[in-house]
Amino acid sequence: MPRRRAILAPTIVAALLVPLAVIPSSAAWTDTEHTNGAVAAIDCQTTSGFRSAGGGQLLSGTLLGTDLAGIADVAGVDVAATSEQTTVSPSTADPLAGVDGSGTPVNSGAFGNPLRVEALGAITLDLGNVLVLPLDAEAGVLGQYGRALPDGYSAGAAGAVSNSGAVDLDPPAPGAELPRIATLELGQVLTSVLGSTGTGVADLADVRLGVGAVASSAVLDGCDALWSRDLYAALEREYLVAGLEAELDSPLVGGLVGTVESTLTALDTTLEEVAGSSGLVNSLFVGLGPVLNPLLTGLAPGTPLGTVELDADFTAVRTLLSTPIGDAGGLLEIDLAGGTVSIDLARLLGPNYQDSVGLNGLAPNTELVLNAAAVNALTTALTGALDQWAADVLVAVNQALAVVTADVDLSVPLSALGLLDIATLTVSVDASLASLLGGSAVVSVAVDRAAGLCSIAIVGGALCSLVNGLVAGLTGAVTTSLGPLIGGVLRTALAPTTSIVATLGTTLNGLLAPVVTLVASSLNVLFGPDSVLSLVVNAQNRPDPARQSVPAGDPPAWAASLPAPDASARSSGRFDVSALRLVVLGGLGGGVALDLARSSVGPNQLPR
Amino acid sequence: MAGAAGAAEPGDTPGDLVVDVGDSVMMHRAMEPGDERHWTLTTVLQHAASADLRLRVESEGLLAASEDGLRLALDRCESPWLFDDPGSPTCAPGSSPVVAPTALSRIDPAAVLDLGTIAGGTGPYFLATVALPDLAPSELQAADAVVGFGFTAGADDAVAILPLSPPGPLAATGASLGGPLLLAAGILLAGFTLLRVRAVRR
Repeated sequence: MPRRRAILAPTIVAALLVPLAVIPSSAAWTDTEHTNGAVAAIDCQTTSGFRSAGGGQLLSGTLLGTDLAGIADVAGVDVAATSEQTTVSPSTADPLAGVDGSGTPVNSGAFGNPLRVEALGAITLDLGNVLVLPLDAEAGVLGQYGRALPDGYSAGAAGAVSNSGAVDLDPPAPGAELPRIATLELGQVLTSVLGSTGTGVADLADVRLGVGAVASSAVLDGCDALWSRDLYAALEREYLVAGLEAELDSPLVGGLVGTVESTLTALDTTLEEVAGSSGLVNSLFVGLGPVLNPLLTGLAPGTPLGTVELDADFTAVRTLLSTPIGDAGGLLEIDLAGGTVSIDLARLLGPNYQDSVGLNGLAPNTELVLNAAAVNALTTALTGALDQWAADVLVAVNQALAVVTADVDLSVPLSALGLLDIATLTVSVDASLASLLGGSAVVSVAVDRAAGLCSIAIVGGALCSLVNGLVAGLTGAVTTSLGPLIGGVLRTALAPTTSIVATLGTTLNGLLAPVVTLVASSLNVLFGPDSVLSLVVNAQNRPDPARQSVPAGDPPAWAASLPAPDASARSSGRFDVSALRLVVLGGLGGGVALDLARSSVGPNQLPR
Repeated sequence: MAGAAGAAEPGDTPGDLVVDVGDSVMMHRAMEPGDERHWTLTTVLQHAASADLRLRVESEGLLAASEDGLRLALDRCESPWLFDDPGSPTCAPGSSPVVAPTALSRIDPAAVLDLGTIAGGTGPYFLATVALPDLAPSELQAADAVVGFGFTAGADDAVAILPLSPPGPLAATGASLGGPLLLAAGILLAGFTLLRVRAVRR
């Protein structure tokens, strides 16, 4: 609100001494008397008798029976002024008066008492870790500001405000995100309130409410109020909430990862079992028969020996387990490994999902309530994200199985006439199943003649010729054709993995629906119309009825304790605004009634 | 309207007409929007048996010149105005409007209001009400004004000598310049003080 101060020099009323003109008359006698007097309009610059007050406090209220007013580390700042003196509480608050670049005095009567970053850890401890304040907050983000002037002007601000008390939600650096101002461990709160039922939602292990940057400011110009005859025209209350996020912890979410991990283990086991099965080597040799048998004329293969190693690389699958997933609309993020679903309440409460302008620009005392449409939008997004993730997992698993690496070493003794081993045929390959099936794998085939075979008397030459014929027949084309045969045998052998993957798909489908149901239920319980949790933005006492397009909600509990306007005392009363108010009623601990970024002005008193 | 007083016109017959401003002026503090000030003006015809009475209203200063500035109303009562109750003064026999509430900026200083014939002695009793409207703009902050009333009594006949002791206490308005001088000095002092204060303020 720009300050208006007309600089009017008083008119010197010398005119008092100037007589009025005489009324012309034709009467025999006339007698004229005149009288005059001076009046002046009130001048706030020179009128003493004003009293004003303003202040700000980032954190206030009660937290599980702890009144934050008793914690010195979260004390705000309150400034009061008359023409005689200015008082500030705490006395250690920083005076902000100074001069601007042109030497003009600014910020007179203003004091700041920002929450000290180094004290935040102690504050969190004081609050029983129910309210966790970030330790890396930017200096100034957690500002508390009060200003009072002896002409009826006062201001208060709290939260992300500048040193002049203006709401300042600019990020600390271009493109940077504003830091979260606090995290409320709602799980602890709900447990204290709901007792043995925990969070009140089955399978909801814990829930946190993350609050982004918040700010509020209040300005009351008593002189403007006096001249406008409208106190609300001279009163400005603003608020901003930059972010609101719910984090739900559930074993159901972690269960998805566990299910996939179990499947991967089962697949690894199956691969080992398949590779180690005694029949596989023989099956492989039999499988090579269509190519090798024609080359073995006169040679009798003995019992094949060998080793097979099968190995699947599930790295891509495990990446899917460890990488948070989300939806295209940015409504949610699921940390599968952590078992957490994070929901962007600010976005969900926005105009895309329900009849609202979002977190800001709302009427005083607006309760944030997710309607059915918003919850449906979230469940749709969640279902889509989980379905896509499950599909991705199945694809990744199948891809891993498709490229299972097979390290095969076969050897078969070859005999002539069934009496004498004259050579050993070896087949080896180390390639993926896909390359085997595709024929691109390099298969090595070798024939080792028995020592001295060709020197054996009488039959040596003939036997040598048999072996040489085999060697000659193992052309490149022949060896190339062995790969698909090996791949085919392995694919058949790996058939059990197919059913395992199919079971995974079925299992995941069965697990996804409960997650969606859990999240929807949690949102309804926590943020729905009948929630035990109340989240109110722009909490105000005595909101201006003439400036609301929609009716204001119920005022906060503290509204009743604030001084009301008093015409006989020429007092404005006090006007507060809290950017975000969170209330969880009941419980042995007294629940929670927490105000974030509360600013106040008044009572400002006019001269009598 | 502090320090209201009358001044004799040169060439008049001194003492024939006296305007008593009494002590009804309420000037506890500067006016703010919605405020009004009351000012009683009682005519006393001391020596003539009757006379015709006329009135002119003049004003100057931004607070009066602005269309959104001071409003004036003038009411007449045939008995003294009563200030017994809070709020506006009352007239027991009933008042009659002389000037309906009008912006001072719209009152022609040359216009003469014929108030009819008055008898010798005290009365009638006029009540001037100066008001700053609720919606006066803040540009008028610290503005001031001077409002003046000029009463002229006259007759064609010779002056009949009446007793010099009018009923009730009367202020000697005809020649009292002390009040205006004091007010002028006071405002001058305030002006200088303001200039000093502004020199050291923000």
